[in-house]
Amino acid sequence: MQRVLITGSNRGIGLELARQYAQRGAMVFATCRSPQSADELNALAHQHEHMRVVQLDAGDPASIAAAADAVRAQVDGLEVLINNGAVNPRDDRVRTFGQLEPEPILDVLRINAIGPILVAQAFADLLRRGDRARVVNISSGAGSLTRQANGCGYTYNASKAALNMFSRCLAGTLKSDGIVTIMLNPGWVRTDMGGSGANLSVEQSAQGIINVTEKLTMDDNGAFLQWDGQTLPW
Amino acid sequence: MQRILITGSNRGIGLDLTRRYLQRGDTLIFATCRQPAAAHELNALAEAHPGQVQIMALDVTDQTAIAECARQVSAQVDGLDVLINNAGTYAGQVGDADPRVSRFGSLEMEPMLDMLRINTVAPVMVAQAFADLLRRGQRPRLINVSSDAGSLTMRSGGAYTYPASKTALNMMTRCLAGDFRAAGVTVIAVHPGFIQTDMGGPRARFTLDETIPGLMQVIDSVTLADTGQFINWDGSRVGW
Repeated sequence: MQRVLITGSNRGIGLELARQYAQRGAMVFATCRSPQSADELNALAHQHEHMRVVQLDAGDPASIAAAADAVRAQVDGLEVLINNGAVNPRDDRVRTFGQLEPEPILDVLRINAIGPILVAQAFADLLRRGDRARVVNISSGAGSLTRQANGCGYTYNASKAALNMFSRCLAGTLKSDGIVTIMLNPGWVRTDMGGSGANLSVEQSAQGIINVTEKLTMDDNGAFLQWDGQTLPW
Repeated sequence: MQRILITGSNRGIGLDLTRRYLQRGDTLIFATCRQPAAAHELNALAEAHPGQVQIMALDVTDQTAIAECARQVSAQVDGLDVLINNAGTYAGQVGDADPRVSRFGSLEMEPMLDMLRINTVAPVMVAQAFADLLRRGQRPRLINVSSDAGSLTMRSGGAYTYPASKTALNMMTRCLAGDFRAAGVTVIAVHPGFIQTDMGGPRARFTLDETIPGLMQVIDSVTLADTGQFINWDGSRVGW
């Protein structure tokens, strides 16, 4: 049975990824910061015998370590790690020049850029024991430097650009273990983050992410792909 | 007279830029560093060039210090022509950085955040605090000292936090370029070369003499047509 861990599974793309992987028969470790208030996820887990809800706050190293211990107690390997959890605060202190402040900016970088790498580090031993394991870091077109030719919103963009570089480094480190690492733009999706005007449904995006993830080979290691398999410019 | 502010000017590239701008003359340098009292070489330069260089205390991670520095500069000049965000950290020498920021298996959150605070966030905060002075400068330019270690195109593996901090700085440069464009301020990221400094170490490829004159030429010649770009010390473009 394929073993999959997805962060930020309480809503949006993460919740849908958990649902679709469970329907495919995978064992799913669906993580989120606050399981007690993740009503939809808990209801989903209730329907699927092989789904586990695990507390994980990617901004908190102690929480990451506890989550890794909890998963290690149940399986001896992982095939897929999807670092999906992220924040994009509607807060001028992280996105509007003239009002920027260091601490709110660093809070976003903690969760979006560093968190995924520390999660990968904590689960690396399980991934090494998985069958053709892969790490999929959910990035964004907002992290493409090429695309930000007319200005941008600072912290969210920078957090995803940093995540891309961390992912390139990770791809270099894990390659010798046969683990494929990519960064993946899920598209502009109708979620709490993407808003109602987005062009993709959450089902389409999650289906695309799974298709891309399942087809990955070592030739894709370190690539910046999107939900439909296309390559994005740096 | 060109009015230039340089962060991290107590050593390495910052000190060398200060020295060369002073040699050129017709320049007023605001040379900032964390601890002016301990910046012996910088103090010697100031004594040799009276009236041309102001040494100012500036810890770029301290918002109060940034505001105070901007206030002091505003009291002396009505505009800034060049702001060079040079201060940065590698947490050790190239090839021998703190494993808590550079080695998978040893990575730790707080040291990594500290590096992003200095290399990625601080340059934006400095730019924000000096924005009014820059807008009133002559052909104003904001220069973020980045590194080709932050080039996603060139790198497929690396030392984790330092490269990521520079990739993120490049993105911040793109955002700043957008916001400063209407005011006519050119914003670029530069790769100064891999240089034999305290950071680069003795085995680095270049000496300061080999790349800093080129870097100064880049700073002299960039125009609004170049804004938002990532430029090598020899004038060529660096891939994102």
